[in-house]
Amino acid sequence: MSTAIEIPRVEVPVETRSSVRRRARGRARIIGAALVLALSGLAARGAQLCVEPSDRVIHAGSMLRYDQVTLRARRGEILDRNGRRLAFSVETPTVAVDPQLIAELPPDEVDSIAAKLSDILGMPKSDVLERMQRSGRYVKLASKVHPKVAAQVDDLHVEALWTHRDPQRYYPEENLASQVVGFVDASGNGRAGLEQALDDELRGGTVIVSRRRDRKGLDVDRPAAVALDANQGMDVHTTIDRQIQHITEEALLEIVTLSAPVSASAVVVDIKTGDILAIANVPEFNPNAMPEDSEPRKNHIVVDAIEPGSIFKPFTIAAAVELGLTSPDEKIDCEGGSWAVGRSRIHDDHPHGVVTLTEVMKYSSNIGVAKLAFRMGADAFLPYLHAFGFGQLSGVPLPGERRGRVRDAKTIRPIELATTAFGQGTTATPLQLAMGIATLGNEGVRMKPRLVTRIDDAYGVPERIQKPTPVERAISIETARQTVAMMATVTEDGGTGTRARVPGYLVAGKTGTAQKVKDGHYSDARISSFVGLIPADHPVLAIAVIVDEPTIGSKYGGLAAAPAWAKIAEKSLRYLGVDPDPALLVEKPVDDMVAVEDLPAVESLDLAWDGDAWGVPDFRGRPVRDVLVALKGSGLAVEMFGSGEAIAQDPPAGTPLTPGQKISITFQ
Amino acid sequence: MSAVPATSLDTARPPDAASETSGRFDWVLFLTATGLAAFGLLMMLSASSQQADRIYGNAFHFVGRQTSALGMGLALSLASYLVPWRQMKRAGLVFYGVVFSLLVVVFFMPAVNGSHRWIKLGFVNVQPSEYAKIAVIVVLASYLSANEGRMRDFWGTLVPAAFIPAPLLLLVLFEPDFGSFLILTLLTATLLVVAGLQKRWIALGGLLGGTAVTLLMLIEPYRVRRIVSFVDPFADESGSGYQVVQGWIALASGGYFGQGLGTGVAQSGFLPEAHTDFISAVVGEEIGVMGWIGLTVAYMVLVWRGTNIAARAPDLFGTLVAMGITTMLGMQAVINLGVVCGMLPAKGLVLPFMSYGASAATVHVICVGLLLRVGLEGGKETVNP
Repeated sequence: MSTAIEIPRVEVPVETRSSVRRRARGRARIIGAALVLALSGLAARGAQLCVEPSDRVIHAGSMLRYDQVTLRARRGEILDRNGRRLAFSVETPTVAVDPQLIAELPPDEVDSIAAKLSDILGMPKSDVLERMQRSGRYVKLASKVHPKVAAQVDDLHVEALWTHRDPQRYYPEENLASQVVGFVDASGNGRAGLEQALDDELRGGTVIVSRRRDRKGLDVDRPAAVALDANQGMDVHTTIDRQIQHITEEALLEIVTLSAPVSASAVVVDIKTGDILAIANVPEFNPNAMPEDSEPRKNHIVVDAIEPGSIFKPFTIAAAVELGLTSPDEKIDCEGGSWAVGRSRIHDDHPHGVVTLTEVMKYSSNIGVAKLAFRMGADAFLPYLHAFGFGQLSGVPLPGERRGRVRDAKTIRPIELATTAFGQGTTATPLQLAMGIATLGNEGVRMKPRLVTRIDDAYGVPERIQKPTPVERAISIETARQTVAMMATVTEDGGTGTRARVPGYLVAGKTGTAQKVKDGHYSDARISSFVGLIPADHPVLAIAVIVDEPTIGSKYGGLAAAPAWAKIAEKSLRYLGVDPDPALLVEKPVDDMVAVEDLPAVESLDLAWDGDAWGVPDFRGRPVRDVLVALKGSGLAVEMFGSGEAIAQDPPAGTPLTPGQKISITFQ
Repeated sequence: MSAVPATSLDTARPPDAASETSGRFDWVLFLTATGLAAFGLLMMLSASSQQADRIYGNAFHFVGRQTSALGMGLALSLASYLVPWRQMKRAGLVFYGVVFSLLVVVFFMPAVNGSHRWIKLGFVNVQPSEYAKIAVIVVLASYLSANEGRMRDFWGTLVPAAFIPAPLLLLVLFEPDFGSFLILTLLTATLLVVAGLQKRWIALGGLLGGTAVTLLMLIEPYRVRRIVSFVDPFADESGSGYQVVQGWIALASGGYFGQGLGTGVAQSGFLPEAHTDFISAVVGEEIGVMGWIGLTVAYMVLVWRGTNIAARAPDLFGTLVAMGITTMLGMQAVINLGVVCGMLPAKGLVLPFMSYGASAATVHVICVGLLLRVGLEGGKETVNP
């Protein structure tokens, strides 16, 4: 064409512009179409990868991005009677490290991170470094940290570090009522106290979910949130009053200072409802930290079945009055402080002659109540002890409650009947004792002890309501009033419980000092106690204070337990707004000479075999016949001099003797 | 139209009208590109904020930089409109010189991951190999349009044409930046083909290119691993196939409608390149198959409009520039998505307007600006110098 002619020297002919353009447009369209075709193919392939992934992809994806976990719904709260939280669950931050990512960092950077973490977390740097250099992809550095601390860690912007939130149990009142509340172990199971007893109600449901997680294994979204909400644990409303609980614990801590006992416990009961306002035990523990020792976890109020000793006497007296076998003014011969029952002899610490029944209570005469027991007989007497709640579970929702033991009327021996009258050979929990005393204050009607009033679901709808429940009438109103009136003399001048007086209120109570049974034998150790009602004229509270083995100062209940009892009683009544009696507000000077009941109440002539040797009793004052019966079959070589009552023995009482060894006794 | 294509365009409008009106502004292209860029920022925020917050303490670190880069591209595009169409070829030559210098400077910069790709300016890292793509397109298009109709002249046209991109290609190859080298090679080939390369050369080139690519991949062992991982990513699931497997898992967990914007977990560390090469997998995870198809359709629209502009260009230069740009954007999308789908061996190529990469973002905006410019010039039958 024309251009080819214009440039003849060019070997290759030049194409026309239009043909070049035409071809260019054509080729451009072909290339464009090819690209669109390729993109369509990719659209299809990508769509297939999205909606029809191969099994291998699904498998790899579910391994990497999903894990099946059992999620536990929120644990319910434990609240006091005014709705204050004693235990609740919060999501608290945990700081963790990925050691694999740390390993990729230069050593000096690792060191500087560790130094910063050590500052933020308040941990030794060596400890931080050690954790950062462990194997694996997840090592916990600190849990339950303050959100501010977690924020500081986040602000370091270190890829290997992160924080996440986990539900943790929190006890805002710390040591308060720790044995009642209990605690939750690392795997979320309730241990001790209400946390254990009502674990099923508190813990809430579990939901098994396939959970999407990110690279660090953390929760991405919460598909189970709805299911978890619906399965939340229930809230437990208790009868515990945080304030009275605090008052009670303070009083017990004073006992610890003054008497250094193995433990001290107290329980405060609202008489009309049977509500337990406080259960306190020292030593105690902080449930926020995992308690190591098992001793502070013991709720002595329900798990200890102790020999109550003299605090048991009001029940014996009440039973005898109820049976019409005696009255407060009846004169009873207390035998001058020593009375033989079979081969044994019962003593009163302070010998009394003929006194009224009221004085038997006031001076705590063992002989007096023993005589009442014989007058009633086991068949009539023992059912009353059951009516007061002894020998049976109270049904309070606390783990490990003991039943206690009341002897069987069919097999009881005379001396056992006598000792039961003043609280030996019978065991009872402090809670049973407090409820028994409350029964006297409640005009003879025994209430079921109430610790939980309501169990609500997470939305406040009650699942279970526990109303105050009368169990049975133990004694008549009249008997109850008379017994309480007699108990009120205990705190009068000359009584054993003068230290339990509370200005403004009349106190009806009873002291107790029991020999502690150790390894099946009575020991030198004592359990000192005071139980009582206040105000005596219209009882509101029944309180029991038990001091296990005071080691400093007096071991008598009237001295070791009564003052703390008075403190608890006074502060609690003031807190509850019970008006004091103006006539009683003038504080009477307390006798310096506190009358004390004593021990041993019974001298047994039985030889005690401790596995290796006989423990020899004190034979002095005993007739020849008793001594012979006691030593019969012991294998000891017995030398006896004179006749009448024993006046001396060699070796003295308490010496261990093995069979074949010699014992000499002189009678006169 | 197809019967007499050469003249149909000429006669479609009156000659004087064509010289007065300056073609059309392609709103479809403009909106598609703008939409892609905006969508890219959104996805990038989701894909990069965790990492950005962890490393820089600023969740918007990558998004901020990408936005600046896009803005920079916009500014440069507008600036290019100041250059008269007739002066474009000369401007291209200057640009070529600048890019060449930068590609030399790159070798004096410290290597990152064993290659000299970036010039660190503190506030921004410039990647000259991205700009090389524009330089090659404009200068080669300029040369080929100057020699319009002489494509059969092997020594006179074809061999000199090959010398134009060669310096840049070699510099990029030695950085090394194999992905950019591949794109530049494909661009050169595309321009030659559109300019009228004879079919025998196309066949030979295809054969040689295929062989060369195969050989290059076989030379170095890491490329072999990449090939293996692309054929069966599960063969080396935790090694070379890791990214692809993670991409597939992301897509699979997206399903039809996705997990929801911002809720993907691929970017939590499963997918190291979540906000760069594998951002389409994040789209798949968060928006599902709808997002994936939307994305591919957007690139189809880009290619369609670009091809249309190329076909309606005022001169061969315009056609070549438009088609070079269209091919570049389209090929990058195809290769990037092909890698994610496991249909191509892993290559460090960004997904235009979506992946994080400052230089690429700037260059792609400039490219769309140039495309729109060619469209504006379309219909004007300018005199070929």
